[in-house]
Amino acid sequence: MNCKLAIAFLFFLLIGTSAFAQPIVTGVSDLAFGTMYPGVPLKVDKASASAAEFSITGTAGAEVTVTFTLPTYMNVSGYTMQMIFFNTDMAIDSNPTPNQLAPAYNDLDPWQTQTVRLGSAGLTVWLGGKAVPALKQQSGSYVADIVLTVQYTGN
Amino acid sequence: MFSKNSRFLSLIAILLMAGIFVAGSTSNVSAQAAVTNTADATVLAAITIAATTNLNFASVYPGVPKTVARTATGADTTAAIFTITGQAGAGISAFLVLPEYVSETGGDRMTVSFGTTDMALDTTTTANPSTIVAGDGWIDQDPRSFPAALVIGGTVPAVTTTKVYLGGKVIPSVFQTAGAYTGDIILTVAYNGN
Repeated sequence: MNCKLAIAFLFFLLIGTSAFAQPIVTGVSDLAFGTMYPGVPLKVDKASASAAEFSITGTAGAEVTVTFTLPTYMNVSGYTMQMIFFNTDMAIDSNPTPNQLAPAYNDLDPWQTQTVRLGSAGLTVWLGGKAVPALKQQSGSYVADIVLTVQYTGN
Repeated sequence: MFSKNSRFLSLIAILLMAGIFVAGSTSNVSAQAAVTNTADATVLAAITIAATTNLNFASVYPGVPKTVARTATGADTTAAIFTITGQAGAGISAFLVLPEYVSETGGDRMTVSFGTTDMALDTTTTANPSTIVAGDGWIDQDPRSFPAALVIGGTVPAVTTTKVYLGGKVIPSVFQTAGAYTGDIILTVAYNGN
């Protein structure tokens, strides 16, 4: 009888401490520069349809850190093209209906870790950037990885 | 000897510690997530420029100016032809650096000038300096100022070249030193994103 109670108590502990749902980060859309001409830099605004978009879900109200690992170059077949991320190229919205044009947290620095609370529908993160092809940039389809890491702070 | 109750209490304590350990581990595993998205771009072909034909005044007499029309394709006198190659229909900006004189190896100089209608721009593959008309691009242009709407060829049909035809005039002095005179004409072209 007492043994059953102990097992029940352990089960309660496991359930109780697993209440924070695992954060899930999804890449909704790429940072798409489209077609570019050599020697002509192109900037994608974080409020544009071509901006990168990420969706984060987890426990509503929980505080998380959001950290980008950003590339400095895009690549194709051994050739590189410079990328620039400015200190206002990131935006986050915690509203249930995210508004890319008027996000709750705007003009954030993507090079810095941001600390925010998950909204009832999580968070939406947008990222803009700039690609700078050289005058004699090799033609081709350039790609680079953008990694977004999300972690609960425990607060 | 432990009593029955003591054994149960010990068991509960052990299970409690194990539970905390397992729960703590589970919490750490679920606290972080990451995703990789991509940045992507397609870069088009770079521009290349070729000096296809020199601006050739052929023989000139001291004291007698000589003009080569932008339409000249003769056996001796020829208009300069530059060929710009790149993405069909892409907007470009261009600039010519024109010499004020040509010089010979001994150092003597001869004035060269360019009029405000000495340039034509051909966006077709069929025209040449002598046959170009307004519908083929731009004619009678000032070589110091290219049209703002300048493009490489066109998209329908796809043409990946634009040619620059350039005429000019040399003005030898009465005492011009005999010899072969040359000067550089430099064309700079870049995409402008249009």
